[in-house]
Amino acid sequence: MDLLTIAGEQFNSRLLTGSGKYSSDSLIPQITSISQSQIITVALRRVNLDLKSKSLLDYIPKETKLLPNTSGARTADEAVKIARIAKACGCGNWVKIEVISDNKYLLPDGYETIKATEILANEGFIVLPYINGDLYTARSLVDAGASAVMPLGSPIGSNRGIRCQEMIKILIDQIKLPIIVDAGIGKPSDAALVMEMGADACLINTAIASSPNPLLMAEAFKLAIQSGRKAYLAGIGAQNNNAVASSPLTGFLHE
Amino acid sequence: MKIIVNGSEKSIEKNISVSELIKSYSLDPKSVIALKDEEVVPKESFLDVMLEDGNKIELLSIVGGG
Repeated sequence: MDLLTIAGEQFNSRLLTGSGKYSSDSLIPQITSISQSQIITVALRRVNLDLKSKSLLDYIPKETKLLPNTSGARTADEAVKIARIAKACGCGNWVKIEVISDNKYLLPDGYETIKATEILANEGFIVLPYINGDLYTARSLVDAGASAVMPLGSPIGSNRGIRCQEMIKILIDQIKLPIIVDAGIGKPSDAALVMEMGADACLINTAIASSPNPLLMAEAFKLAIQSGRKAYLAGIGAQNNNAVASSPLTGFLHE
Repeated sequence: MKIIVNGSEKSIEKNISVSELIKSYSLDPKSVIALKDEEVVPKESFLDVMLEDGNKIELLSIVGGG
């Protein structure tokens, strides 16, 4: 059985899903079921005191692991604060660290992310940091006690696909922690590409939520990630610059 | 007396609990996370923790995110 292992916990699914941007939160149970996702990200925000809505948690199947993110944090201290609140409120001790102060590209701040990871890992959190695909940042995160690293494919929510392929490849080669490609994946073939390269999992939110048919797209991502993983495990055949005939080159009819 | 709720000033009666404050907004206490002066108020203490003049209250909830 090919399982994804993060911090000693095993998962059948290598597709993590987000819970943002859906036209209705009521889609989330079906998305979770169709995608077979076992880990779902959530965020923490001030209640809108003028707008009554049902709690998101009512829509998340109980057996799904919650992965609260620290979105909105601009510094390590803010990320630590959000993580502690989420834990105190019963969201468990897993956290996706996001520390972002750039509002145009929403790129993660490696230095602040490392600081937050170190503090939270020392407190017993299972920390999954969102990072640029930088080897030195990833190595520092290993030392800081991260349980996985989550390099971006392209900027958050952009659906632009795997624009950082070479950097992700280096992390897969050099970092022993699970590599979960997060952000920017726009279509199933993007996810299949990184899975074929040996990434351990993908986190998909916008690509599913922004599809006109999110349920069908959730299934497409599930299949693409399974397909990419199987291709990686099988091993991809060697490339050649010249053609190498697949049919015999003897016994032609005109001979 | 006056407290700050999610950054806005609010006038309230004396002897109001966190639970009563949450209900005054017609919110379900089960789905609300409350911080009083930066400290998380455990859900089981919502009825017992009373608000005092000048308290800074944050009412938070889990929302969709990636």
